[in-house]
Amino acid sequence: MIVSIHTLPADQVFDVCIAGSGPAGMTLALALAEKGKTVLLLEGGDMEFSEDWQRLYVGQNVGDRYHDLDVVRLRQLGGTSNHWGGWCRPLDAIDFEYKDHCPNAHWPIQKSDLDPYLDRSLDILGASGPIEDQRLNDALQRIIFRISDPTMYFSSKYADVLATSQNLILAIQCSLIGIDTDRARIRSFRVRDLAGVSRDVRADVFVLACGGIENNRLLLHFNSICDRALVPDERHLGRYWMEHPTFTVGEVFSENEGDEQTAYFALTPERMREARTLNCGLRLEWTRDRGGLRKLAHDLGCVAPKLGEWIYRRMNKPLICAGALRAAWEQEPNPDSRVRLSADRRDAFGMPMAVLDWRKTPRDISTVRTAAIELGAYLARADLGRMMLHDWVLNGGPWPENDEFGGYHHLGGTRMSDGPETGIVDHDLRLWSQDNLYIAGSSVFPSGGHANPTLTIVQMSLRLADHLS
Amino acid sequence: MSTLLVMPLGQAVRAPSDHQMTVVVKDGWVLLRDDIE
Repeated sequence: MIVSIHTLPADQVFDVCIAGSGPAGMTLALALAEKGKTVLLLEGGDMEFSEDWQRLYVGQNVGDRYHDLDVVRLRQLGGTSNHWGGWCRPLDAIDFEYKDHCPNAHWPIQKSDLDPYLDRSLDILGASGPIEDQRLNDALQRIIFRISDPTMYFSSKYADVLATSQNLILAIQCSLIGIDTDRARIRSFRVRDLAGVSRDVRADVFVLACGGIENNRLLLHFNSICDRALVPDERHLGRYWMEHPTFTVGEVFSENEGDEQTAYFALTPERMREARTLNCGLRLEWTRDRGGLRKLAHDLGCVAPKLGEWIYRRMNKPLICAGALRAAWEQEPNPDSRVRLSADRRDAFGMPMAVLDWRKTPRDISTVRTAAIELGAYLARADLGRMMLHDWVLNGGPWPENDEFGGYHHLGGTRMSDGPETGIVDHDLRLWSQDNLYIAGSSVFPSGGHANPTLTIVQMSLRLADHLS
Repeated sequence: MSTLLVMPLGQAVRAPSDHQMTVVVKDGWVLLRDDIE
């Protein structure tokens, strides 16, 4: 059933109330409803894109160069997944492990805790199939992404299910604006529409699933107005916020690109540990741009005349090709990289806007440099091609001013932890200081790996559904 | 970048059986020593 704030069932106490209908919230809601739970799913936007609702996502960037906060998120049914690219890959085992060179980049759970939910998650996302990486040598592996094809959108895939479900109610245009707590348990969520109509909704369990920036903003705001009842030790709240830095890091030519348009690579876990890096995904994207190839050949000829001559002899034959080396990688969890509340700018509900202070570290360049050189070495030693890396990668900066910057992957800030002194939620995603408030979505990621996060978000929501059942 | 760097790389590169197969980074290019000598 789909309702508005005017038709919300009065006086019903739901088993679970979830704020946010993106991949985290909707996966959780559907899984709980399937298990017979009564679920209220709140969407703080409309069924489709609406400028009025989207405006609530305006915020400020004060850190590293990034996109506007109302561009990198979508406030509507299905959330930001409405501009999802469809890339699926689980996190690697090493992403969860403790690393002495980066002690904040580990999880209180292991990959094996999420593996039971992998096949079902891939099925939900329309990306079923094997994920079998191929080890190339001790340092490098060729990796697999599953692609949702055609791209699955939560909003369209589940619209009919939401409309007809008996025990799952979707309430649209219901923005979460307040929490009532007795300090140990949440009693109700307060929601409001743009006309100013408010309602309190009650449930046994409440879940915040509003995205990797909004979860932070809401928790920071609610914590401030209820005297830190939600997160008494808020030293880490909003901090360790991460993206997947996403940049073109170099160019490659090869004698033959093979059958595939794109090839993906990553370091082996052993090489990551040895080189004290984090995880990095590299992709070669081949192009038929002969002009670019000529320039590349010219540049190489200046450095390595023998190779330059070799290329020129083949230039007019379809024997060689050029490509861009793109990278999306794991950012070092950094306490100074954070979401905080604006001191002077408020949204239409009078709530402080989000301020994003995204900060990368020197390790974020050394990680991609190590991975890229390893791939360049592999190509050279196997005589498959040669790679040129951009100056900023080799020199340690400055970061490019004109690129993709990130993958719209908003990670961290309400991180999962071993204890309340190091994070916000426990290994079951429950706030350490609340009996019945949980957080779903990528804001709980203590570290990000390099894989696109949607698959992991879905896995974790299925796991949370099991916990709440 | 105009300096010639010999980078500590993976196993195959760390213990090259052939000097000419050593990987170097020169002017941004990841090359074999054989490419430039």
